[in-house]
Amino acid sequence: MKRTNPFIDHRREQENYFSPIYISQNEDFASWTSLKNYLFVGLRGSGKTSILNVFNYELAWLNRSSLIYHKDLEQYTNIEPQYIGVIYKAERQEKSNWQEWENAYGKSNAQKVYITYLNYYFCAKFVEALHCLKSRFKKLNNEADNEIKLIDEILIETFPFKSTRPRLADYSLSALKYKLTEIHNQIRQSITSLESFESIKKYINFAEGSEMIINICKHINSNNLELSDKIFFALIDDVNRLTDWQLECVNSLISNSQTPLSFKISSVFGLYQTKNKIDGRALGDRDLLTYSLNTDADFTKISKSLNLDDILQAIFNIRLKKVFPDLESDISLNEILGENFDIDNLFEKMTSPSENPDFKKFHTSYKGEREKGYYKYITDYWLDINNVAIDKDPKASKLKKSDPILYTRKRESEVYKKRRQTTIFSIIDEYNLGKKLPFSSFNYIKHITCGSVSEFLRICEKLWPEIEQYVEKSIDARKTPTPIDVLKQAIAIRSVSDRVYDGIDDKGLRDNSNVSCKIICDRLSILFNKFIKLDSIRKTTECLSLKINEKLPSDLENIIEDIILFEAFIKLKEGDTFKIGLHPILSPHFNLPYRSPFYYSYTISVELFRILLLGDDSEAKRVIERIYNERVGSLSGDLFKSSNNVE
Amino acid sequence: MKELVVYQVIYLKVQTMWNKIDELKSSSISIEVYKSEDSIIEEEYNLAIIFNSFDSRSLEYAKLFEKKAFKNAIIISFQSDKKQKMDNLIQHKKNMGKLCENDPIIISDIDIFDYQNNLSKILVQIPIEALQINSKWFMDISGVPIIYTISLLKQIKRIFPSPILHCTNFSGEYVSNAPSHNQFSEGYSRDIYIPNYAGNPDFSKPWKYVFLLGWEGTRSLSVLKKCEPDSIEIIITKPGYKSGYEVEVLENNKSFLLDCGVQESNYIYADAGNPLQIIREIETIYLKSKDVFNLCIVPLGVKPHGLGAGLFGCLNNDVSIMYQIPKRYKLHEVKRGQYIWLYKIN
Repeated sequence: MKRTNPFIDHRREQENYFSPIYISQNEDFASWTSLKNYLFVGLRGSGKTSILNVFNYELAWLNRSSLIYHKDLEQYTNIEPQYIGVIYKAERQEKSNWQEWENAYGKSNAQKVYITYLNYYFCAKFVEALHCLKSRFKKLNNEADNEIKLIDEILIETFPFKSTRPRLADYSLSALKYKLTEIHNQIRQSITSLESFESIKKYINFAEGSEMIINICKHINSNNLELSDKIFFALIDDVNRLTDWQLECVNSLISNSQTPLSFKISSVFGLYQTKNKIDGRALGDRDLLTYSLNTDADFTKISKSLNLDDILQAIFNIRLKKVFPDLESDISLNEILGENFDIDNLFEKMTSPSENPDFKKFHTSYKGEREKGYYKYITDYWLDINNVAIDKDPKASKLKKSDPILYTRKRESEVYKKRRQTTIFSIIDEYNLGKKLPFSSFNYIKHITCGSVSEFLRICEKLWPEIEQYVEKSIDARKTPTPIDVLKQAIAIRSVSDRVYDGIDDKGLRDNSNVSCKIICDRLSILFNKFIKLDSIRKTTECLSLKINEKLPSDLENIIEDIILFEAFIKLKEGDTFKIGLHPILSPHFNLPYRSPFYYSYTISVELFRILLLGDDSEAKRVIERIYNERVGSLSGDLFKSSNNVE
Repeated sequence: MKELVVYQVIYLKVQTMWNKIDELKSSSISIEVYKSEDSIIEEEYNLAIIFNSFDSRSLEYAKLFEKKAFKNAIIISFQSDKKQKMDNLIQHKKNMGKLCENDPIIISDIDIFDYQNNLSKILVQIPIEALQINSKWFMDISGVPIIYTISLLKQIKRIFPSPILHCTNFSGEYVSNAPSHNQFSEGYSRDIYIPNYAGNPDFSKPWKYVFLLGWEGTRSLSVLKKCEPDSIEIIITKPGYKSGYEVEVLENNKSFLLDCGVQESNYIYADAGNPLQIIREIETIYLKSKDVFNLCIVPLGVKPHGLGAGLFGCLNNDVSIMYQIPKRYKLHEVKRGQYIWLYKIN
């Protein structure tokens, strides 16, 4: 029976696994919903927006959301929350429009206008929230409720000068909300049409810090007995879409916030660019707590996160049950995909010795040694015959003949296991075997997708015929399904990897130059490929990222941000320094090792980094040679003999 | 008597050759769409707005008139070191010598990317006499970046009394099918709202993006990746200025279409020359989603589709229209194709 592929839609917001029920059961939920300010960071699809949506009054109080299935909302028990949250979803285009205005009228003016813009937005939204809650809950309209007084107080707060204070069409919260929204929209229109600071000054009262919002929240508390103990959340989704100077405004609002207001913001991992406030000082760690979703500080270690296992497992089965309603128990991803893959054995299985005479010779010789019990892995043998010392124990080689069992056991240590992953790529490179490595297994998929549920769903989409067959067998008690063939998994994974690569922007970044985001990725892949060559691994381990110890100029920062959004780069910020690596999802495309790119970085100056990224091909080639020379030593032969990408 | 006969013949010719394709009438706007292969325009205009472009089809408007049809004219010419563009400007001036009663106002050597300032420069040059009740203005949109066409359109609709606007668009004849030939822009881009089309979104709501797809496939994917809309609709140009256009559009936007998750059965196709089809399609989407989503239109297709988006934006101020600023506009020679389209906007 041919069923619709349930993995075609890669949007994870469709899953009830990101539903309020799941989020509200998180052990940290109580802390998130306290007055502490929070920054939620994670990759796309890690659930940042879903968390902020749970704080939003529309979901928390009214049980409505445009992005969650109605059925899932029904299951959400609506217990009156202690908070009223309103959300602001930052948009990308706005960044350009505000930046253009800032270029024309200066940072200080832009920050004044932007802080005011956010203040009016949140004031309007809190008034709207109150209006909606009062319409829904009769108990909020009791005798103690003093709406007229509240409206007066808010008007005085938001329009301090009597002369500019608007008259409301009627004395209602709805009319008040309309007026406040009008100011917010008017500022936005003025910015997009590049109106001068002087003309904007004529119609707004500038707000400083978050006092205006705090006072409005206090007025709501004091004028409605039922809401007197509630706290208020200003939620800002995707602050990575803001410019640095806008983020300084947000940070200033956060540092200013006090009872009953708290900020909860979200950002794509690695793109929360500054902790600075408008006054130049940095936001303290306690002012804004960071919560990494499904990630460690280094999200390439995500495959070790059990939390991610649960999420993927649940999403996978929810999708399956859409087309297999009779499926009683969950399908285990570890079983259907295999938990891990034995890289050595697979490599051996996949590589036909006959295709390269040198490889054939090497392979035959390895088989002989394996039969003697000296070796269990082809990579170990290759490392030994090429005198690549992994552990520094001088007795190690003697051990091979005196105690082969101990010798092979030693080879099971973590240091060898890790090194083996890289060595496979070195062997492929050495014998020019092409892209043959069959990546497979749940752990590997988790690792290279770095927690991106959409990439995981893409791989499942490609594997649908096999998944369907497996599930059919699972339902049929007479048959026992076998895990999906590793080669089929490999094809699906590589195809997703190729698609990520195809999606990277290939438009030229500068005048008279063909350098594009895609070419930058190619250049980094060429550089990193040099570090899996035999000469290199004899001296040091592989290198899959660059470390920069200085602040980058904004043009480079923008380019990097774009490449991150294309899911081709990953960035790790550590204090004032940061590391840039190719996203592990591109590892099958470039045939590069897939260990965490951040383990071993190469430190590079901003000048060299700029040339590597934006210089012409010959300049980039010289930088690659220079880095190689500095890290590995003098060149043996032409570094670019087998590569024609840069030349 | 002889003169009268001649007049009648011309009149009949005009009436028969402009084929009315479609019309839309509402309380705030009236739009009529005409198509012809070879015809003339008999009407007279208080103002003509002409953009100097690289391609030869943008000079074709002059052939539509057989007498002095414009009282005033503004010619806008962007900075360029290309001789062809200089020659075209000379030709525009010559055309205006024949077609315009007053000397044309030339706004030249302006930076094509300085959209906001350029629009202001154009607007301040509009002569008072072109702002009378029932004024008629003419604009040829064939060689103009869509950002200018629709920004001006909204400004014009804001003028009181708003002039009647007639726009012509000459279909193009594309000499090559190579994708590189059909890319009209290149380079790193910023995403902005088209001036006057920032919309009035509610920032607590999710976004629905309506992509009007054309040849420039990489742009669509870039918008998708960078803006991450919560919901997507796709409108594809059909049948286009040549057969099989829509196949090319699908091919050029392959990565985007694979990524966006919209099922093939949900693709919407719209006539390449008729902006009213776009208005209707967007309206259907808008009515279905306006309480749930903010709507943003992304015009990446043919100019009439961009015009349709602009007209829809004129009718619905809450809708946003975005634009990706390219590093450079590519200059291609595009000869006039088979059809002339005439849009009468009142």
